[in-house]
Amino acid sequence: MEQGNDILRVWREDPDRGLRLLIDAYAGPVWKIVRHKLAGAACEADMEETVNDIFLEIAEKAERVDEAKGALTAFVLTLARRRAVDAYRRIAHRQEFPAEEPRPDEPAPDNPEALVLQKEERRRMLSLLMTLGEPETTILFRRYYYGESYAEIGKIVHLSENAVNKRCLKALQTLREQMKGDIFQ
Amino acid sequence: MTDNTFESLFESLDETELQTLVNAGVNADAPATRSEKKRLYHLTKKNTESVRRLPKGRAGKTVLLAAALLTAFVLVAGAVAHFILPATIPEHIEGFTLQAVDPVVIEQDGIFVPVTATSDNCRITLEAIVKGDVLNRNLFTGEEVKNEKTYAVVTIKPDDAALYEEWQTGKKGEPVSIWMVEGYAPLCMSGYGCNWFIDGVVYHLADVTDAALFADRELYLAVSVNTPDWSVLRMDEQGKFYYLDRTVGMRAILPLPLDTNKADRAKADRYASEHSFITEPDYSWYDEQNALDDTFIASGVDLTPYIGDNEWRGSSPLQFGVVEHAREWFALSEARPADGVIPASFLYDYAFATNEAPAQSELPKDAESHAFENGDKWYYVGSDSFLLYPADGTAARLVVVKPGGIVIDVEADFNALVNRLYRENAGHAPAGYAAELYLLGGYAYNRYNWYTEEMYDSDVRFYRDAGDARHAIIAEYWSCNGTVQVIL
Repeated sequence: MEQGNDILRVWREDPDRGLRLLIDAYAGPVWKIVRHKLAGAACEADMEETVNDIFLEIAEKAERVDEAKGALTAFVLTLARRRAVDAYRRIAHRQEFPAEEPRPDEPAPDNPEALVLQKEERRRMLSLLMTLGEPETTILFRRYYYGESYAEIGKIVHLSENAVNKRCLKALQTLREQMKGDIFQ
Repeated sequence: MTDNTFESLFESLDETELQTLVNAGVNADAPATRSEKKRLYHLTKKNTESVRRLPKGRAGKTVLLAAALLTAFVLVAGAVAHFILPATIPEHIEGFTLQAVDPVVIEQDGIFVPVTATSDNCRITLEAIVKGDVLNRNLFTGEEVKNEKTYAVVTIKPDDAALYEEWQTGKKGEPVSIWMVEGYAPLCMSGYGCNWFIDGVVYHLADVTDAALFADRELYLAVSVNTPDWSVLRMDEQGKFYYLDRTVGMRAILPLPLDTNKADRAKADRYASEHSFITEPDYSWYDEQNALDDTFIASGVDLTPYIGDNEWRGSSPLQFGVVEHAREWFALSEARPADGVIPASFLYDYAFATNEAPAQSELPKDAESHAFENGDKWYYVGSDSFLLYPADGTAARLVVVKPGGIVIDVEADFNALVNRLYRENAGHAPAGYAAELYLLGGYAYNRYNWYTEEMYDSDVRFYRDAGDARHAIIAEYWSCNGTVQVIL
């Protein structure tokens, strides 16, 4: 996927062709994120509208994205997730069902000490995550960022559903041990 | 560490963290379907451009449906007064918006001498080039845009009335056309065409408005049944176009003399760039596929027992009566490939259609499936996998399942069949691999591809013995008494 530099370069020279490349590279991930976030809350038309809005915004802002490696992908995924969350909240409000509830492990916003601790733990966990190597890192990413099933992930990493399941559990176990079971139960 | 913890972490990843993950090699790729990408592209463009160009033509079922919009006929003046041109030319825009095009003025574009070719007992004539200001009216939004259009009018008269009827019903496709510019590989250009069936003659209208930009160069119109691809339609090193001998069905390459006053070199160059026109096409993949087809056909393997009908039969091979179609056993452990690699798992995709949604229990097991309804059919698309444990004595029994449905889905890119997957993963078929399976796989893949392409009027691969063959490929895995059975 990471041909962001090429896409940005083409975009600047030829926006139409750049748009095609952008969609070719990122339509799938954006759809993944939107479906994961809005499944059960929105109909397909609402999801499609959200995806369209995301790409419109990407099209508006793509020029300003850094050409550093990985930057475009990170920008697209982050934007997609934010807009998907926004869409979810709009729909939740419209349909009068509960908006997202804070997770039990999330510190209260007015607890700065907890926030700092959480930030440090995030940094450690991400650092450990990348030491797992592949395909474990991809498995975990796709499981929790895209919400993919083990079977779907298996198609990407060329493993059976069972194998993905096992590797995922093993990876979590490894991370837990390495974090020495701190606040993560 | 709980799932919630992890989910929380990933949900709150910022750009920098994501960038770090991506750069570390995390695979974040995800395919989108072709229709998703196309719709997205056009909707995004629509918000930035006021005028959209028409998509690649689909001279198929949508046109037949749109024929209901025809309200009147007008006579075309000039040398071709003997044929009629519908007043309302339906056009199908990508996705689901239908526009009705009312010509304000249609007249012959310059002096033109009809050009005729004969092929497959059909008489194909480029009758006229017509032009006009046409009013596009979106039936849903009422928005109106006036465009100047240029059309090539082609008549196709088959000697065989049965062929005319088959085209009329769309069972074996119908005439389509592609405009071509000398020096650019065919099929880089888009175009739109539609057909009217009147008294044994097919009147084919090809939108060549974009071609007019190139009117100062040699232009051609390739007419055939179903849209060809590079396995049959090519350009030689001198920039000339030709069909390969293997092409089946009516086809012709006619000169397309458009008004040179419409040529615009700068716009044409930009058009060529935007649409990625190719001057040096690479036909190697198509040559490989053609060679595979030829080898299979020469092998004489008879697949007619495996040709089924449209009736849904469920997923169990036993229901298909598979036993009588069993192939010979071969032992994977004895037929190791030169590099010693034996695939540990196979992933495959399947798709089938049925007239009514089967019960959940009838769907292939251990598979994720996505069902969608389109018109009066239900389509199932899914994937499954199976494992092979190449222990000593492991054998695989290859059994061709009698087809239980029609494989239809052209919007997803399928990597169907064991053989092709293996070829892609390992780079070659293993030594001693059952040649029949290899050929069967290739043939079945191609035939499957052909059938779906017939339905969706995209690229089609022609076969010498092309017939009405259709089959579905459903594979299932189970283990029995220590051996693994691969049912293909």
